[in-house]
Amino acid sequence: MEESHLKSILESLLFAAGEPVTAAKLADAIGDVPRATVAKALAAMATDYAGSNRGVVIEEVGGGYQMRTRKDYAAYVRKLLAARPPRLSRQLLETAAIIAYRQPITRPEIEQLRGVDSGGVLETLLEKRLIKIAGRKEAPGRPIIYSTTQEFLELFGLKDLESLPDLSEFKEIERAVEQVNTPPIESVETHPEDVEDVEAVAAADPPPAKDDSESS
Amino acid sequence: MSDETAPPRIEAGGGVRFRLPIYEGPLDLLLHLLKRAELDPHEVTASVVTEQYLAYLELLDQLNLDIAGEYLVMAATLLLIKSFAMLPHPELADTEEAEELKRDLVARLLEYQRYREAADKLAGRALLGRDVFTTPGEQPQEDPNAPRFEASIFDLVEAMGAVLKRMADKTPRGITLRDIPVAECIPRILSALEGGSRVEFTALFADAADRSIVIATFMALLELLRRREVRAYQEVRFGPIFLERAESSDTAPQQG
Repeated sequence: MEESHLKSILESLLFAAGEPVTAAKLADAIGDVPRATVAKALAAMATDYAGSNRGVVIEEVGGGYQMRTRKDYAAYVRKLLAARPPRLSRQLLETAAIIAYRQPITRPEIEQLRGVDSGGVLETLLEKRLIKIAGRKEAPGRPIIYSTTQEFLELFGLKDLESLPDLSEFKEIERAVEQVNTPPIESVETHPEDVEDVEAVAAADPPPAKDDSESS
Repeated sequence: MSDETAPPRIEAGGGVRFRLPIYEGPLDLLLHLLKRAELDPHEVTASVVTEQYLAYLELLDQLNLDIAGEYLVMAATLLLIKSFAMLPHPELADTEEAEELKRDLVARLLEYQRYREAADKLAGRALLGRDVFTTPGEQPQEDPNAPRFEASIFDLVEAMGAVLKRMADKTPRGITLRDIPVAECIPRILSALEGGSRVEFTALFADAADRSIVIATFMALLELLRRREVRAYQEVRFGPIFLERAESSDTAPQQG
């Protein structure tokens, strides 16, 4: 089969499917083309679409390929569909992030990391199908363990869990912070007058609850 | 902490009372205070942070808001670390324990901060349904077997909240006591869904004149959902909620 012909077929399949489809499934639908050829054509198409000024792109999401509208035109699509964007509160995002990076993870582990009761937010994440119950941990009490779902990957446009934003960057930040700060901490402890200064500045500051445009 | 020790500047706050920033817990609050003081998590035991942390709890207390237990545990930890540092003879204090408490707290803050930043990064991605869209695939309206997302009670209550908020925005304040029997609203909903037509959740309240009607209609809807006479679903996650008649003959539960 000619490459351009194959690409046309793939284009129609991706358009009709809507959801992410794996190269294997697409190859099945076409029938006489090896999976590797399909995968290669898909990768080429993804690059072509991204580089052109088309309104749609082909992206690798949740283990498959998916046709999606180009981000630049979000405002028009939203208006046409009268779509209400997903409501994702900070606590929801924060909890989803913790589960994504640490899965499988139990509720007590999540609460230890967040420092607050997380029953309600877990419930909401389950309702929104962004997380699922992945089983029970082989530990005392056999607590339920949670993991993220295919919907989670689709919502955030992630190819797989490996493509989550890298947490190791934070490790570097932390190390840098540690190096910078070890001496100042000691100096604060040996010179109490420094502490007084900080307090004086703080007293002039507005109270923590004062609205400073950060009220979310 | 008695009321007299409350810093007067908080009382002078006046207008801020009902615009309290919502913190997601003690760690979130501590990170915020550290950021304001331009300190990093390693300096969490700085007096300024402890004081402002306590001041915030004091404020919550003054506003009669419940303070979650986690906040109090954190306050106790901060005060314990502080009390060790303030002892005149360091050899009297269990410095080992204080150091350990502090190390644990710093480690937790750093870890928490890491996930907060990860959450921000996730939120900044091109979100499906907000920044990017896909084709709906097979037509969900035509195909009864197409996947649908059953609208949960949370989705409904959330949508209800939006309806009430819109009403509050446009209707003048005033209290009218009216008795709207929920039973009267049921036929209205059913007739709107007659002939297999579907209705968007918000459209149900489009011509409702006041809150009591809205609430009665909502209660009626919940009743119909409970009886499985009506189905509430979404075609896309987080999308609008649609209502339709359920085939009551075969889906009605035996025990009502």
